[in-house]
Amino acid sequence: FNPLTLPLPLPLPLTQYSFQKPNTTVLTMSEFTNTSISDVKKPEQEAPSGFSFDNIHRNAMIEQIAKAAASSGSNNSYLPQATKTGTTIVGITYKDGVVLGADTRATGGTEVADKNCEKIHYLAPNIFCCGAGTAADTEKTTELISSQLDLLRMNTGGSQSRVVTACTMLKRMLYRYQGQVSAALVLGGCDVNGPHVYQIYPHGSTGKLPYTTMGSGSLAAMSVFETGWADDMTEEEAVELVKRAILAGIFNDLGSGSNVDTCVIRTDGTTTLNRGAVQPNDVKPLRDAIKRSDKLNMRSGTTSVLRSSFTPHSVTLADVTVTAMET
Amino acid sequence: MSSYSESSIPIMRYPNDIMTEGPNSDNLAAAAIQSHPVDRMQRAAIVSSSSSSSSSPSSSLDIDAIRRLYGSALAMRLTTERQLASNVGGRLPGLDAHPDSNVMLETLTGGDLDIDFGDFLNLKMNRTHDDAGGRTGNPVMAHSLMESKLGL
Repeated sequence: FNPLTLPLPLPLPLTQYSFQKPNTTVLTMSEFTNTSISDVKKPEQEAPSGFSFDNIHRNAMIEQIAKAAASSGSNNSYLPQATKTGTTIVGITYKDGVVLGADTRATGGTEVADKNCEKIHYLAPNIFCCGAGTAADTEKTTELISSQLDLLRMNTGGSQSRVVTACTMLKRMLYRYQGQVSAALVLGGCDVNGPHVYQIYPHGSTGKLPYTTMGSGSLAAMSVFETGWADDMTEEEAVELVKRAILAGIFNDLGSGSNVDTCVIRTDGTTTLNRGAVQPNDVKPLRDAIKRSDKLNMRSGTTSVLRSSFTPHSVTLADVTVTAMET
Repeated sequence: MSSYSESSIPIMRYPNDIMTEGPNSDNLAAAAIQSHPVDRMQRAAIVSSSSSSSSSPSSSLDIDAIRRLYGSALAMRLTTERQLASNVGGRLPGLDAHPDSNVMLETLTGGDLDIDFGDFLNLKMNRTHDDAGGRTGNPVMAHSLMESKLGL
């Protein structure tokens, strides 16, 4: 029974009395008024599910050792760095929708960790999100919010999620973790109210804008937008502008590189995710130009076969019986 | 660390496992290390009873308001229901769920309608440590099981 549907009674006077019962699982009145009923175990004793901090002291010790080694010796980057997407991500609105763009470089410190990573993440059929910051954080955060949107659609019977719902869920989660989850996002999509682009910062602040850029290459990309954006552009113009903005980030920022990915989300419900829309850093021509020794190309039969044997393995196939389902 | 208690005099309840925590884990310096802010936030979310984002079984009920508006009988009934659901094997008879599934508690608190980091990160069944603030004496479950199995 749902307590909210009961009719509200007149306010009762506060009375305190305790039940004298042999069964100890029944609680007395004093326990309702004084304490907040929570888990039986004390919170310090029970590690919560979620992020695990078991190794926090071990990591502190390792950092101390690394610092000592770095100051005395010349061994830099002793500690592994979290893979970041020091990046260029952009989003713009045009007449009939939203275009999102991202580069594809992931760095770990000064080293390129992934030359072709995917920064445009799926949230809903009509909502996509570009992520900058720690790669794992953006990936898992967007996956989590995608699941939450899915659950919300199932529970409320709605057919389409709104972009502002995704934005609110993301900002609440990021604020709760006080910026420790390092995810800077450009959220874009189309819903019943039209096309929307939001920018979300790691501490949980958001902005709703017609065009926005985030990441280390954001200034280079924003310079392209500020000179090139206009109201009511066509899709071709918008995609061209986004490509130019990401290329500006790729060529002028060390943290961005490799290819340009674009994603077009239209108000009629269709989306086009174009991985590698522009590939200015393709290494295939360079690789093909390398001359390798002919000794590496051997015809089949160069190595003589001395002996060959074939032993069939006795396999018992699973007994598959089909039972018709009763409705 | 394992000997931490609320009193200012450190009391050792169980010896520390040197393999996992190092030889200097039970001195005052180790106990004084500040925990991570996210760790504190996660643990606080379990205790707080009024936060909307917490996950404790009673947090979705304002038990005090229910007691004042509807009477103590309803408040006791709802709280007892939740306590029984939090027990081991807490589910109605006839429900064929896995013993660790928490189906009844999640239905009561609305946890089956939501998903958060705690639903897939650091689940109890995946932990290597039997982690308790005041160590129960089983430092590393899986490793000690293997050691005894291999006779080491």
